[in-house]
Amino acid sequence: MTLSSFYVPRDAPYRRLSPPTKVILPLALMTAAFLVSQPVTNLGLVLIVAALLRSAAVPGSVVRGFAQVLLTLIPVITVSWTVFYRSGAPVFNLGPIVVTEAGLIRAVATDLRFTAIVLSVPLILGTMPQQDLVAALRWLRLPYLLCFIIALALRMIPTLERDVAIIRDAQRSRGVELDKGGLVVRLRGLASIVLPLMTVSIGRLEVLARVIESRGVTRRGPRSFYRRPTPGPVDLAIMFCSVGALVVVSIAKTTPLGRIVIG
Amino acid sequence: MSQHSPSPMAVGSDVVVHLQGVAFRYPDSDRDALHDVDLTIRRGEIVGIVGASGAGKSTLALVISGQIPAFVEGHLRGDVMVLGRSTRGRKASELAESVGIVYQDPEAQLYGLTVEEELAVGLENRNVPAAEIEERIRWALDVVGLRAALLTRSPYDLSGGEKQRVVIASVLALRPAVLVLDEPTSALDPGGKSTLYDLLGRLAHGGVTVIVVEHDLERLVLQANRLIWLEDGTIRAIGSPAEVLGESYLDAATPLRLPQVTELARRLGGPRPYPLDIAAAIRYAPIVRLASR
Repeated sequence: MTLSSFYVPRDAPYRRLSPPTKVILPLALMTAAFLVSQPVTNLGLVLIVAALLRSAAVPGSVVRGFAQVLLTLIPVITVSWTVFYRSGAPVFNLGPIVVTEAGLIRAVATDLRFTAIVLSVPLILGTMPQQDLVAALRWLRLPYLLCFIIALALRMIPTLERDVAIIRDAQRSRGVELDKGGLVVRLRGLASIVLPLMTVSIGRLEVLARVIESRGVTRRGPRSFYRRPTPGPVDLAIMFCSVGALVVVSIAKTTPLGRIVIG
Repeated sequence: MSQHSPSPMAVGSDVVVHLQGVAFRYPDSDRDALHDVDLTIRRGEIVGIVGASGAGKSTLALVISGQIPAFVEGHLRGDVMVLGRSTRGRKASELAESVGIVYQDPEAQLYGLTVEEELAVGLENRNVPAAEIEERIRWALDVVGLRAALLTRSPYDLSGGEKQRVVIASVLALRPAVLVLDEPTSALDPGGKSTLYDLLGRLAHGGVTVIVVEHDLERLVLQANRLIWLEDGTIRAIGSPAEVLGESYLDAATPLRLPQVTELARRLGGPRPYPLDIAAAIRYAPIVRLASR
């Protein structure tokens, strides 16, 4: 699955938002997930993300792809916190390992935190085409060259995939076994793909560099926008509330009550 | 035919490209890739650069487009003037407004996520207002014969011919006076080649000077005002296609891939000038019969 395949065009309320909004809102949720550390508040964030995913009509296959990442992360996080966090009242012992109440709470909170963060990613990648994402980044005043590099990296993915497929078929036709044998044999097979791929890519990049330079990408001075996103009042309100909520949470964390409520 | 004078077939009288005493040597090479090249190309001409592999065709295209010395390292001697200004010391982005270059592999020249972005980036970087960008995109698409419906498509999902036309459109959107194409038909089917040459004809008619590096002369000879035949980095002949292909040095060992009818006439040992297309071949056939008697 590539970045471009996360996006499936659909009409849904969330998708009608402007691209910058669809970048700011998930980023705010991800940041909030890092700021709060109580299981209840993290659970609240997970529920908000789930509601947004539903409102965005992100395909189940895309969400399941990200959920698989969580299936790897959650056991590692849970074991790490319960085994290595020693503070608080012990709940039970597993030989020398003492599982504490605070350790369990931290484990659940961190699991929920990463669930909110990981599931926020398809809210960005699965709800707009790549060009909208780059346009949103430009609207957010990210340096032009950085946006261009991101777009270029996204652009290279299908080309590299095609090149790999051609080289793999060519090597197989020459009798190179790519799917059989032990680790060493497979690594050797991998080298037979990587080396030609690098040669092809370097040659192509040389031409691309000339083209990019000719189009004035590195040119200094003012630039115009052709398709500039134009957030409407709803978008502006959502962006304002998202950033405002983050500010409130950050300030609340400095107060005793806030530390109790949101962690 | 004069070796270095402009052909009487040249359209218009404005000189857009002028090379005098040009030589170029790549780093670590012990011989010049180009030497003693004097050349004048006028507005609205279609000029074909032909010759064997390694004759210096692509190097000459890079010199004319200013990619040498802007990008390609080596030692350039002589004067290269485009629109009355030397290409030395000029930035690639500045040169692109005078000379656009289209390389062989269209996919290597695409970097936009959509066709529209591909065409707009160069203009955005030059701070062209959005309304004018839209107008230029529509114009460039119209010139290359692409539908506006393709604007939102990824350029990598298009056919080889369409990709080639997107690349040409993105160059044309910058409104260059000269368009240089390095073997543009190598990845195209016969239909794609015809479409491309029809497009080049329209561009030249509109005042764009078109310079094409080409191996396959089948279609080029029908469209080109002049051919430049390079051999070992030097100009062996310049003239109309009929003049160049009719020269006595078009011997049995010619490295040029001639049009089929021309090749047939040559092999039959018919008199010169050889026909370049079917219509000329029909008129030529009785002459061959007479000659064989």
